Amino acid sequence: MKASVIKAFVVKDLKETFRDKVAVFWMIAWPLIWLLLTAYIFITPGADQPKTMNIGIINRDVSSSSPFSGLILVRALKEAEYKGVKLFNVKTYESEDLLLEDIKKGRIDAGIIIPENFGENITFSQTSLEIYVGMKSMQSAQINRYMLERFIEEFNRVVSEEKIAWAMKFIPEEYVDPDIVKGFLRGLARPINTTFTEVLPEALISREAWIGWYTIGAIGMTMLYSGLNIGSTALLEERQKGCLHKILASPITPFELIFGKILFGILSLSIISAVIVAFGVFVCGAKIYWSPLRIEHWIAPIMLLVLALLTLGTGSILSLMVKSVRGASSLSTSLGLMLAFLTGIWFPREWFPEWMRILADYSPATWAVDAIRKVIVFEAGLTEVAHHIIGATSAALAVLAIGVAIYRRMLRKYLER
Amino acid sequence: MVIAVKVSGLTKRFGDKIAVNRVSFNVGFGEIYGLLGPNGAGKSTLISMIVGVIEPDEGTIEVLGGEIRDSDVRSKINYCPQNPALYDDLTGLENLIFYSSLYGITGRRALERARELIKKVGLEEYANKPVKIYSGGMRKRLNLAAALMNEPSLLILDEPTTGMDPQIRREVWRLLSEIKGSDRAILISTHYMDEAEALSDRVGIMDSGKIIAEGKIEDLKRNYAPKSVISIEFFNPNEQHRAREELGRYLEPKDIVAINGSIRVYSEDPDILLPQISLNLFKAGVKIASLRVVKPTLEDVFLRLTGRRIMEVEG
Repeated sequence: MKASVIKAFVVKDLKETFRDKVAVFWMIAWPLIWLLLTAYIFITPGADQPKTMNIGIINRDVSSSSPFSGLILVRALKEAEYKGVKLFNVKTYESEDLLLEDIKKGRIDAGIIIPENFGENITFSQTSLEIYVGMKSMQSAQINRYMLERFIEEFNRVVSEEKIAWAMKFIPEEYVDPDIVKGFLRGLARPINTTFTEVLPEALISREAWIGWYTIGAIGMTMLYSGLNIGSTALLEERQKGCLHKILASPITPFELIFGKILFGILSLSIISAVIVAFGVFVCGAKIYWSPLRIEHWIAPIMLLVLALLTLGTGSILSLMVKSVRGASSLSTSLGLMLAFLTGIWFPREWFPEWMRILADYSPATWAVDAIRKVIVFEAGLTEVAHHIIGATSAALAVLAIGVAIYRRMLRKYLER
Repeated sequence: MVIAVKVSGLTKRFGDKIAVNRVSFNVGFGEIYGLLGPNGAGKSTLISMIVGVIEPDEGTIEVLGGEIRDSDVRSKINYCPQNPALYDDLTGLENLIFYSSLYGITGRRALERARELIKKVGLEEYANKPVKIYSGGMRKRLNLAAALMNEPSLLILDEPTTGMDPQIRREVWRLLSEIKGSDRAILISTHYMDEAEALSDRVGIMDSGKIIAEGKIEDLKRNYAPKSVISIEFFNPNEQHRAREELGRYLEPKDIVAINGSIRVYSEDPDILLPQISLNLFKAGVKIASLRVVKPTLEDVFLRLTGRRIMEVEG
């Protein structure tokens, strides 16, 4: 195999491809547009900040003389913060009808009605709160309800502690150990003391990490349709341009032609990947960890190579089904985009219904993309992605072997036509 | 004559159709061998087998004393396909350099050779422009230059001037005559009689997958064409039909051929026939623009051999 021949094909194909404005749009501009839109529209700046709820209050316990009154609850709502962000914008209402109307029209997210004698009841027995949660969408209702439940739980805890402290004044210390009494009373007030601990992946919390996730998704998406496209049109294009006979009448072997085409595909996809990463990091603000000194980080370029081989090989299989370059391009672009959406490469598979996740779970392209994400976005180690690496690499080698066999068959078929 | 290409009993079938049927011929160094025949005669299939991109079903091909599968042999030949094999987004120079790389010619050597050839085919001004702006004739010339990049010992050209205007055709003929040499063999397929006559030292006439006659042009004419041809041209092409009817009264139908508004009459004794035709057509009121005795051409040979004209076969 002559290196100069392989180089000739790679250089020629790169020049041809990157001088074609349509090809450049689909291979580079299209994924960048997607990444930009996702970074600035779907993951808006502040998307990783806590949400502030608009809440309406009717306080019917304004004149209470007890230590706990409705005013304390309103003040607590106004002062509640999470990670330095105010949790509730509180608006006071006089009429329940007006409150409900504003919830229905989506002007506020929820409404709380504090009943008369709220303070008195909470001091001496139990009280109730009526809470209306707006149902603009299932998701927002779930979030709003969760926020209010957490707030009420915290408020309950504070009130319980106050009540226990107050009750302790009436229990002489010489008869009973005050700590035992306090524990007993806490058990009565709050039999189950729930502690919420957040175990979200640290990297996903930030907007930058989300964009990092989508940056790798953009590479996966463009690899899918560009790889399929390059793979399916590699020989068809030479044939359609009328160059195949002339090339094969030269001293090169069919294997050199096929290898040159595959190498061109790998190089183009590498260039595209580099552009997307640079765009993601420098324009969209993606957070990506990569150091040449970290062995596990080399999994990313290796998996990119595997992904390229996988898509190029699959593209060659597609070439069996098409008769023209236009047909191959249409098929590979539509199939590539569809797969990018359905296999968890562009959208997180957690968003999918259960049946749809099967496609993502068994897609070697998704394994490769997931391995890259885990390593350079979530800083996972080699052992955590080993199964993905083995699965994706085996699939890529198998598909590539089939692809080369198909190319050889297609060559014979094209020449005899 | 040292043999450059030796083809023996070559046959190729596509399903039920026999595209090339037991074809045998030789091409020697220092000569241009013309494969003349209409479209569909099997010329391109024959060439595809000689350059090694199609496997023959039967027969043998010896190229430059070896097997066409041998890469050393392939590096010494080159092929110029009928439709220019060029990349539109590359410049003329880039196309030439790409093709030379396939023959192991790279770097400065490739660039110099490409520049030299691009000048030779008259495309110097367009050397660095993308091929997509080239006209059809320019593409054909660049296609020819690409086939010369490795200075081949055997050059195979498939219909090199199809679709070119007459001036550019003559330009290509001049170029081919220039590159002809004792160390080079040229095999050219064409359906143009004038091209075969102008370029070829020997011609193989192909029809329906077979070589039906082969030899030097003069020998072919001597063996297959009539001694002389009387050419009759008319002021009004519509007169051709009436003249043909009139001539049919005393001549064999096979000796009267209507071509492009004129009539060719085949005769072994034109000195007697010419005054007779002149007088009879005058009496019949057919107005003649010219009446003369001309030399027979390869078209006449093909007509005599197949009963058809090459262009008729093309449709």
